[in-house]
Amino acid sequence: MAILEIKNVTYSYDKKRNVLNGMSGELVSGKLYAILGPSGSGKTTLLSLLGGLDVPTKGTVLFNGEDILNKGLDYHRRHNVALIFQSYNLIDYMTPLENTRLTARQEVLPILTRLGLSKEEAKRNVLQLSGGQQQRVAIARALASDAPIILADEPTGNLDEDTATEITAILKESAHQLNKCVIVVTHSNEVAKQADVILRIKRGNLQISNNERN
Amino acid sequence: MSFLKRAWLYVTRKKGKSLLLFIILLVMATFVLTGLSLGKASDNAQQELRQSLGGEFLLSVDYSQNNPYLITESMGETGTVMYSTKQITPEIVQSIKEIPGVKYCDANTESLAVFADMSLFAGNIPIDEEYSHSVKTRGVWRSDESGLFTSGSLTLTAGRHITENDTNTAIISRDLAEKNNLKVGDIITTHSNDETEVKIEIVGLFEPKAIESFTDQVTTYDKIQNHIFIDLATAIAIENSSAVQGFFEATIVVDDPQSMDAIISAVKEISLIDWDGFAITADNTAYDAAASSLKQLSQLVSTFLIIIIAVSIVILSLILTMWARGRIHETGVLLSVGIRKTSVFGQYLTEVLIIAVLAFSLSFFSGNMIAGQVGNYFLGQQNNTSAEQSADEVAAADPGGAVAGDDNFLSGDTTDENTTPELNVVISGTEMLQMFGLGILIITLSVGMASVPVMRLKPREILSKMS
Repeated sequence: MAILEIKNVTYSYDKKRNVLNGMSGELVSGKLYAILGPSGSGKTTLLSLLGGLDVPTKGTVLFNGEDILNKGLDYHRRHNVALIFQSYNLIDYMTPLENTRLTARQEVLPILTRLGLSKEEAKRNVLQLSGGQQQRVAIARALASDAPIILADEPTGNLDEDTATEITAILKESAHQLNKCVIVVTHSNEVAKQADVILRIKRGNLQISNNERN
Repeated sequence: MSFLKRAWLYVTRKKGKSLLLFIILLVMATFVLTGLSLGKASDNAQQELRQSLGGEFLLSVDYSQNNPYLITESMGETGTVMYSTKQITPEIVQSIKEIPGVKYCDANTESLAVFADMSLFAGNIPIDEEYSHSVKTRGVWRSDESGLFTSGSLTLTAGRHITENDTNTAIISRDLAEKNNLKVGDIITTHSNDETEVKIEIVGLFEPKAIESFTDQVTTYDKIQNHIFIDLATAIAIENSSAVQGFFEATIVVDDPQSMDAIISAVKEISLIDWDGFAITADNTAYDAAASSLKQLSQLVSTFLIIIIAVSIVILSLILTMWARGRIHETGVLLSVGIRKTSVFGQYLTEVLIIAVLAFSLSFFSGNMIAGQVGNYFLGQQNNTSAEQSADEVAAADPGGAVAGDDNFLSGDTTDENTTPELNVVISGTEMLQMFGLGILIITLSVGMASVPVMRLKPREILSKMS
């Protein structure tokens, strides 16, 4: 059964031109999805709608078959989804441990160490960490929240190639081993290659295709 | 993680910003505390001043043409006598005394009486032989309510005061008693107009605070050492005519000059008084003159407090607005991970409150240091202004520089002693509580105003601003 579903979703910024145009699709747990498309095609907009950061002009977003508006977007963001951003979006006066604990429902140090941070690094200020380490903290925060869906907007955009590969592997592992539905907006072909399913946005519509490589 | 924990982390980790906010709040609280304590000190000083000065008004027989009870009788070659058949009765005085806020009721009636057997202190204004043994008798309701005693101009040094139920009683000066070998319990004798003998028992002796100097122009019967206080019944017996049936006037002293109008209204409601025959003269000038500087100070303090509060709100709002804008990123992150707006607002408010509690508590010491100095400065300014105004008024009223007479030495006017009020500026728990309440209100408003523009945005709009 689809954990996340969009039905006839239309979104317009100015009510003249639709960025998303009656888009529909289903997303399931245990898979890594990559949303691809040219700049301005609506990738981040779609991610925002899936994450409850905004509401569609028309259509509905369903979580486990229920419109996310029924319980409220705050509830959806707090319980159903976890967001990862290109610029990490960590709270700069907190340590990795504290950032991860923001919404954690479990012990966070094992998650951080599993993602490659030492105990000492976990207690430093996040600004004293490298970009790759900061993104690992952001992923740890997403995993610690226990949300079944992880939404990542260009998570490797600011990282070098090796680190980007590691981060992508962590996301893929989270989908497969933790049975999360991981959706990544990316321009990176390397990331796309790792995805189980490719979602392409063309003229406001969604084309879903399984990645033959995986 | 709770908003309290997040707030604590912010305050302790962002030390520079916390210190800046601490300094701003400390200054704000110090000034608010200064304003509040000055306001209270000013109110207290005004209250003390009112109580020390009191206020008074005069209820007297109306000697104008409007009084239908006025009678003018010829006294042969010596002229005429004018009196009203409606005079102030002891019942009227009692009714006035029962009005809440009335401190003293100095009801009296004066006349001259001849004490032929007594040796008097001579005045320096020549008088007819027939008045050489005359003294001024003051018929009183109660001598302890007489302005001369209540002001301290006279002091009872032996015996007792005359009360409203006394008959044939008198209080004379100790000097006059010694001059005539009299003491408390002795009887002095005078005669009524129809030559009836009136015997009066001395029940008390008084000593004046000051007596007339040899340069003062005073008649024998006006000399204070010759004055004799008698009860009303005796005054009526001595006069033995319809000219004296009660008191001619009553000076009513009130506890608080502010309540004078209300008390005058209450007096006017007394049904025993026939207002065709009486008039009220109110005099609050002593209080008004003395209180003017404190009133100005009070207004200044109120203005000061309003300005401080307004400036505090503006400065705090501006700083917190800049603060909130600088934290759009953080707000967006917190909202994106599912933390409610109320929780984010609670965090920002708590951060300021944590710093405020520390700043407000320390402002007790800084406020104590500057409040007294600011108060004295303001008071000094007001006194200088008042002194200049008074000097101008005196100069305008008496351009020749000759200030007439000093026959007020008995009036008990202690205004000069009280016109320089002092401010006792003390910061107490009440001011601290008021300041905490006011400060928390200002902070809540400021944080609210600063947060609204960010909080109204959707998380996506915040994230767009972030990027």
